[in-house]
Amino acid sequence: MSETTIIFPKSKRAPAEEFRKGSRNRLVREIRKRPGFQACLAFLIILVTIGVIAPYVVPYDPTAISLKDKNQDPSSTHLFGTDFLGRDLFSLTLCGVQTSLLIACVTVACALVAGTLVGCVAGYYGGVVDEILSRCVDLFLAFPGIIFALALLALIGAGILNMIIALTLSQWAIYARLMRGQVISIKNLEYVQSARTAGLTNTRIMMQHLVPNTIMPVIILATLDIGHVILSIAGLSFLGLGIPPGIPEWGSMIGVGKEFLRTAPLNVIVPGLAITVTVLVFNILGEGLRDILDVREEQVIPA
Amino acid sequence: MHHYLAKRIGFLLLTILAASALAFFLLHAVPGGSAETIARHTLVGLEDSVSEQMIQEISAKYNLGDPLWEQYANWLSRAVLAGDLGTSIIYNTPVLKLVSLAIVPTLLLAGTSMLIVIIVGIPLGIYSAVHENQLSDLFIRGATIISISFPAFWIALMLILIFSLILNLLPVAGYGTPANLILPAIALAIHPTAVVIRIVRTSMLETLGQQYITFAIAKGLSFGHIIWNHAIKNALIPVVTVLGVYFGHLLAGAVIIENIFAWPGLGNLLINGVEGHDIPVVTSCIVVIVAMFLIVNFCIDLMYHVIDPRIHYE
Repeated sequence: MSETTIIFPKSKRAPAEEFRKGSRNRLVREIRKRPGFQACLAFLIILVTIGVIAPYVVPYDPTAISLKDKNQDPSSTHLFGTDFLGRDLFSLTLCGVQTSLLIACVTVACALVAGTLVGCVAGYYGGVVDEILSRCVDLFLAFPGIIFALALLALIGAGILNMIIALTLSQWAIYARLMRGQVISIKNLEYVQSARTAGLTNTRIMMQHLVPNTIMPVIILATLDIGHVILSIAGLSFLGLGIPPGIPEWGSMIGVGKEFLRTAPLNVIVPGLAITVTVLVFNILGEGLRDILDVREEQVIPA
Repeated sequence: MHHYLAKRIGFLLLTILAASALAFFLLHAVPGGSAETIARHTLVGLEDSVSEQMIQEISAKYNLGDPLWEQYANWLSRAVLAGDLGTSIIYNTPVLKLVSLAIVPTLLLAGTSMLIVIIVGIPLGIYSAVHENQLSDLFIRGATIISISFPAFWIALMLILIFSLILNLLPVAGYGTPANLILPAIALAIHPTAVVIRIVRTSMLETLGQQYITFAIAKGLSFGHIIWNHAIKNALIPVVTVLGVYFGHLLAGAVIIENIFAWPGLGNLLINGVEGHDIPVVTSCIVVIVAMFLIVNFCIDLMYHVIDPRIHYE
């Protein structure tokens, strides 16, 4: 066989493959160098564990109302005291982990998949397809912050599923914009061209070459976005729009607790600290990943 | 330049139009839903049941039975030609009057917060970059990452608890005096300030690594001269875009903050509208917020040429 029949340059692997084979050790080494990152990883595992087991192990039923115990100070029986309905604040706060993490992770996963698909298709095909999809992305990005989710929730009402739908619709566009730029930057590289010459279908090129090689910044954005979405969930529930009463959630705890700010400030302080710590963990993890994978900061700013 | 300007303004108007259509269709998607609300607010009590006949009468009166696109075309043509955004269901006054009364407080709050973001964020970012990896830099970086994780509405409540309830220094809520403005503006500004500090720091560090800075050092210029005359101007160019994006966040964040401080702005109007299912008010508030956000970003895009003369518009 003559040398001219060789189509693929063998020594030059696609970056994603390079990453799989060679960089796993590098990733572990980089993480070892960062004690803060490790601590946050450990804390994340603890948070997830709390989220899974809290409803079964907390000392009090977080929804049990006992009006004679309302607005109590911290004591040996109630670690953080009780709220205005006599519910145990410690149990409520721990059970809130599940609500926030569940909604935030599902939302970010949905937004990531939708945004990645749209961005990849827009970037790869270009032309009219890109023009139409990009204008759609611009349209959704024109609604700042929680405004879009707020309008949608006002219409479809409170609820966990509704919250996920509303937040996904308001978040997907930032992933699409990032992914589109990433795909455009690599779609004319040699290995993508070789794949095209070799006759791979467009779907296969996107799934096997484009997505694996451009996904890293998107994953970093997703990690930072989980924190952002947790804040949005809390904000919407604080306004009474997100989570129906009866489900433990930090934002709604603060929302009802603010009426008793003077007499029982712990009702506001404790859930607020819980939100801050959880969001902080995801922010530190996201920034650590950004440093480790060496992605420029302004590339992944959650909008 | 004129060609570019015309194209950009065209795009701006189209985006506002599309956003208004999206908001309108979203909020009017439930047929009869708004008729029931109007009946509750105008004919019977909020808790009473609404009869089928009332719904039909109101649907006929407000043309709610028409196809959505016809309702939208009606609303849009009246909004553009006559400045008529409809009538509020709760307050029974023209929406335009409510919105125009609410815009000033919101702009005052968002503007003050923006001022805090610029005055605090940019110097601290530069300071942090100049003192890279020193103790003060590490402290600022730690403080910013924690500030980014705070929920703004919680900060607002903590500020009320400390400065109003415990120290009795500032009013809990209200509107009218400068003292009323301090707490909401700070609560709203904390998150974007932290972001701006980080962006300025990164941008400044990148600029300081450029060859022309090395050249300026080699020339023997003083450190202060290099920072002030060479580095800052170039480092701040990307920051301007971020400021534009975060103006939108200030507008969106103001919705919650206004609610806490009983600030009579667009956010309060919006939330009251949402609670009372006052669809005309909600639609108009959202369209106005989106339009303000887009217009500010449009102006910032135009300002680029002034800030950085190397940029030319095609």
